[in-house]
Amino acid sequence: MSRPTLVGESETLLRSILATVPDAMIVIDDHGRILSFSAAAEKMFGYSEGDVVGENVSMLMPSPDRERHDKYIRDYRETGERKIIGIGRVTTARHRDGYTFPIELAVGEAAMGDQRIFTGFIHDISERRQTELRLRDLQSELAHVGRLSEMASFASSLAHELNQPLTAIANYCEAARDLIPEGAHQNDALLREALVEAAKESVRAGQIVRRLREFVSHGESLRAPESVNRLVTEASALALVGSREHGIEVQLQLAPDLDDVPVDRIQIQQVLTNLIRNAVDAMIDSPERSLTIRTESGPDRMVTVTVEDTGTGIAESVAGQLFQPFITSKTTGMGVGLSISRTIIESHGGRIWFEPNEGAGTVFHFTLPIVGAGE
Amino acid sequence: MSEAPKVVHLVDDDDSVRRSVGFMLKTSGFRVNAFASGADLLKELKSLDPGCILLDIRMPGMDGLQVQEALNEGGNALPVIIMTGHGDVPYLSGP
Repeated sequence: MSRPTLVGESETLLRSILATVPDAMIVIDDHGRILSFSAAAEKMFGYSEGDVVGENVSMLMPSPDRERHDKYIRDYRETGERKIIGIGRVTTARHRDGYTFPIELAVGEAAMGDQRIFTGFIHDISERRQTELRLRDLQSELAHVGRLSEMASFASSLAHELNQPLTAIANYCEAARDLIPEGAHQNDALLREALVEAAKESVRAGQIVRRLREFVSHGESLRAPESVNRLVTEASALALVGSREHGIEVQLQLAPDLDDVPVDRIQIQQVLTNLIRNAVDAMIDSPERSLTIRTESGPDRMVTVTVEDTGTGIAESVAGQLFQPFITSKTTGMGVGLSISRTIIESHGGRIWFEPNEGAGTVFHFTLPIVGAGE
Repeated sequence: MSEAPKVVHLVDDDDSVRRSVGFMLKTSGFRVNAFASGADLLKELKSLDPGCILLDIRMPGMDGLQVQEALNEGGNALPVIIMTGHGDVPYLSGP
């Protein structure tokens, strides 16, 4: 039996595959110029192939990638360091009509003669079903972390509260022991022994509570060096699904050349998602709906992330206790988001705070140390 | 006639710890002058009887080290002892 052969038909076959693959495919040269734009890409971005061939691919990106893409390619040409090729990531794309949408982007590289070409496969994850699956994954991961952080907060306050009475018990026992006259009666010796043991047990109980606290607060955290800009890009792409419908204008202002920061990726994404969702919720009824997310390197080897909204702002009555658990202005939710966010940021050695936005709305900031938290 | 008991000026924000430490000191023959915060102690700094000052290190508001600093600035001449550990070890294992 002879095998079917593709020779001579391979190009036809390739074209038919490309015409039917649901992901968009865009081929560019090593200066970012578009060479080929698939049918799915035409549908996804609203441009026809004829509109875009020869144009810079950065036209399909929102800021800041739009301005920086040429530099990304140049850096890669010069250093050969792969930031996306063969790795892939979740990021944001820009439609012809100006709105942005979350995508999963995979990039491959090939040589054609002496020319290098890059092929991008783009999967639109704003498409309801996939997005929900993807979000559900992330959310269940986040919910798990959330429960752990809540437990950590709970264990931590439990340990603090219990330590005081346990200390008091030990003190009373020891003081009572010293009141018993030496050797007067046989029962006195037994009484002394009982009080000494009671004091010891109380100290032991304190140590158990403390170990529980240490276990819960440090046991589950996995830290690795991560790019803060990448965390911000991914978290905002996911948190902002659906916000297009609310007409929210989103700006990412990411500082270039930020050092990697040792963090638990999921935990920091949870904080970001939390702040971004809060910002979106606060702006739903506002005349101006503008969200700015900024990264910058601050003094003292810290990275600062800022989430700024033009929403309703924070009522003075809750401002003082905003980071306490169970404080909320929303009708849904437990009001633990910011409390957990603070637990997470502080366990990373950073700080989180907020201030009113000039005009309207709220600005949240948090910092993360570039070197690991001193523990 | 016995000597007047020596005085301990005790500062701890936690009620149960403050009272138990006070009890312990009293049973050991000291007179205890208790304060719930560093600020309360500092208000009476000028009129404190001679004795020693015992500070909890971890308190809301001014912590033990900040109280000590304020005491130094206020010209305090009494010896200061700071309690650390918070339940990790017994606060005081006797006089």
